[in-house]
Amino acid sequence: MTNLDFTTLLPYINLLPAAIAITLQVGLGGFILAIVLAIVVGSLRTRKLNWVVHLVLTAYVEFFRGTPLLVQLFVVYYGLPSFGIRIEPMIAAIVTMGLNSGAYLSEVVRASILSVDRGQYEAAAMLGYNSMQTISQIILPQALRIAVPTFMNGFSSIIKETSLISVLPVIELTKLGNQIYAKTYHPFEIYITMAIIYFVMTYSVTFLAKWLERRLSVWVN
Amino acid sequence: MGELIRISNLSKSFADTTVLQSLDMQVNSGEIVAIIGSSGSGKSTLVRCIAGLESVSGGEILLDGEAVVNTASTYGKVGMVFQNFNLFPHFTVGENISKPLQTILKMKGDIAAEKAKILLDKVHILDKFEQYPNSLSGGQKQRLAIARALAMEPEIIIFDEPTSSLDPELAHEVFETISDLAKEGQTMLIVTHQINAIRRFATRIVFLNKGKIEVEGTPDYIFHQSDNHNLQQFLKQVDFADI
Repeated sequence: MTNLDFTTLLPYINLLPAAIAITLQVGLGGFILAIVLAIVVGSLRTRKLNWVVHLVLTAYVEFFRGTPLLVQLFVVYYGLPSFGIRIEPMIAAIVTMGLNSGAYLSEVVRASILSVDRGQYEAAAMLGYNSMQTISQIILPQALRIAVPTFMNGFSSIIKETSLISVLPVIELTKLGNQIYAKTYHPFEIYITMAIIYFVMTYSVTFLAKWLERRLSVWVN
Repeated sequence: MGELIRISNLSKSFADTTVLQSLDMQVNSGEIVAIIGSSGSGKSTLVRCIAGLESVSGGEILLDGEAVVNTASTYGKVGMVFQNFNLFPHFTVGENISKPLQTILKMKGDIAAEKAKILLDKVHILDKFEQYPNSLSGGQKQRLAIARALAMEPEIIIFDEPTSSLDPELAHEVFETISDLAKEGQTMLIVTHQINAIRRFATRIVFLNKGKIEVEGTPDYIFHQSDNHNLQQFLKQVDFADI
């Protein structure tokens, strides 16, 4: 049995903050993009739409839900240059993660909007709210409270899925682990350390989610 | 008393079910018209058509001489108080009144809040200003809904079974508020089963049966003079206990 030696990691410890920062940047950037997409696409898909818009939105949601994130990353970073579209690896990572997560979360937003009582629309209409004011001021705040726990799960998932961007020329946490492994040949020490760092990041999100849920629940019956 | 609402030959169907048929009716400013009738008689559908919440299948509804086609055509003229309150749960009690004033009437925040306080005082829940609707009793929720409707200063307020989800004690609170509005001359259209509560202040009662107006008249006529068989049967069925 191999003796565990975590000291082999010490020479590389100064590289960790940068890798963690990149992981968080991609995770947070992707999540913010995902929220915006989810709200726009999810809200639009609850309405009667022009068939072209309906088709485009459905195609987006189904394509990104029906194909692996890794393949999507390859298409965006390695495939698009064939059409003359070159994207910086960080941007490619953020955009792909955002598009992927946005497709899933848009369905959450759509379901949350549909779960808001019909009477809320009628009350708003009787007070003179137009459909845009109704959705933004009355329906979405209620729907998003319902969606918050799933959104926060989505954020945890994005943080974990950032490990897939190690296939791009971006030195995030997993890629850093691979590079240290290539030099030290201590896979267990390296990857368990990486796993613990990922766990601390995602577990912190759980606390944030509970706090947010509590804050948003003051008005819930 | 000018004519506010004129309904001519109104019909409304849902798929194959006819709910309202060839209905004529009018409401004048200052009137308090109660609409009674058994379940399924079309009472709620009638007031929802007047409010613009339902499209009509035939005939027309004129509000101030203009055809009602949707809620946009009743905006500013009709206020609605729903059976299930339909308060905005994410707004505080005060915001339920002030936010629509800010959004729709473009009123400044402090002026809207001041108006909200005056209206909440009027319905005796000013002390709940900062709370959320989930902390209110059913009666308080309905009084807030009335205050919210009043805030937009509508020409008529429609009450769609405002007390049917409340127990008698809380329903009494709500009818006291409606009674206060009646004294101020507010035009109202009230759908209710609680006929004893409204007989005190209704100026006219309309009895609907199978989508048609079968009898209408003053409370005295409805309760003591009409010999309409269906009305008599209905009055026997409803609870006569004072609330």
